[in-house]
Amino acid sequence: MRVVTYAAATAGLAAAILAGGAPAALAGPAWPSGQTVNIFPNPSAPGTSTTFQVNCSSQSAAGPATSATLSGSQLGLADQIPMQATSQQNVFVTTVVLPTSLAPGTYNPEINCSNGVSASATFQVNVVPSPAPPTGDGATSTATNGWLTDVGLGLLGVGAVAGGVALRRHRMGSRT
Amino acid sequence: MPRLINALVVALIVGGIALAYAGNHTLRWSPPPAPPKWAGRAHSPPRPAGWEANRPADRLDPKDAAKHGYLVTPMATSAPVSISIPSIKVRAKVIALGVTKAGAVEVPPLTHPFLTSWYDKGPTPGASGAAVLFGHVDSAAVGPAVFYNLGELRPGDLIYVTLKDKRTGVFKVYSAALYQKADFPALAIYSYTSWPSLRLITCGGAFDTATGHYLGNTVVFAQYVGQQSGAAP
Repeated sequence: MRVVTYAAATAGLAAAILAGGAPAALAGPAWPSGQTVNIFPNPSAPGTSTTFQVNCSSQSAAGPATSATLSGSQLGLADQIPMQATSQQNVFVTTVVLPTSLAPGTYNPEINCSNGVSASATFQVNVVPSPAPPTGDGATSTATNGWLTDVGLGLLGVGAVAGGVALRRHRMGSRT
Repeated sequence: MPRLINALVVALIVGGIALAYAGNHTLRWSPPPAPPKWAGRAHSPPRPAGWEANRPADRLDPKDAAKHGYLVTPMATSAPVSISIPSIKVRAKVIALGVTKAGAVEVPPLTHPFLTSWYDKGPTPGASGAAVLFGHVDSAAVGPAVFYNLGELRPGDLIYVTLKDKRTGVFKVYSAALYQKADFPALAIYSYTSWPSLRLITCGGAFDTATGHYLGNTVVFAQYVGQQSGAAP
């Protein structure tokens, strides 16, 4: 009797796992539990190729989904972007390039499955700092050898004074 | 005797003028080096073996990575604290900076010419994506600054970035180029890469004395090749 109960419990557990969908043993990265939509990368940025994954399985919806679409209007893309089916039932994926004009902020694009499941996930679009950074004040491109100029001016001064003295002596000498 | 004095006076005056002129017309330091054209040829980075485009590598199970022959696993997220580039004798602290209200990236103050900054709106070095570090090329107070010799880096050179968790990421340069400010490749620099990568940025090219800015930027692109515990060499 105990053995039977154990077997029934095991069967129930296995059924629960199957019904839950997306067993971790299947190909691809492990599906984070409790999430319907995955977005890579998140945060993303304008001009970046971004992947959306959806798991359309649900307890209440009518059967497995045969297709899914991503609503891209919020992101400045086509309104209905068809998603590709994967080797996993109910899992669909699509990769889009976010428009370079997309404003930074938080977005909630919606995904609709053919079986009536609809889901959305919050994702962050970060700014791409566009202006090139100012990283230098030009010292090595503009600073001159000021010390050399100072030495030269010094020599010039000494020469001028010496010349003046010599000239004066010369005149005084010629007077007497 | 007076002739000798006359000659000396003339020599002093002529020599002094020549020296003063030369001092005013020669640069105290040479302008920053620019990378040669061939060093900037790799526009798209060589993808580490086994890495697929857009693969969410940061979520991969290490066992899965080993099964698929992934060469490297990304580092844990941790802010960078120092950078070491042995080939150009750079050793510097790294601080975290974001963007200004105008949307420009913040860089360290010119009063700290040997400090580098990490763009903290992007990924940390060694995590999937492109981590970006900035440093000054020069400053009036010291002349050549921390990234003055960035243009000397060539494909194959190694860059070490030590993180707060005391692990050091090793990155290999695959491209180095000088871009005019108007052609600054912001997307190529900041865009997400499914493997960890690193970009080092400083100023370069001709200097515009009218605006007080360099007309270009030297950008070094590197890819993550592994990690080690402890400090950089």
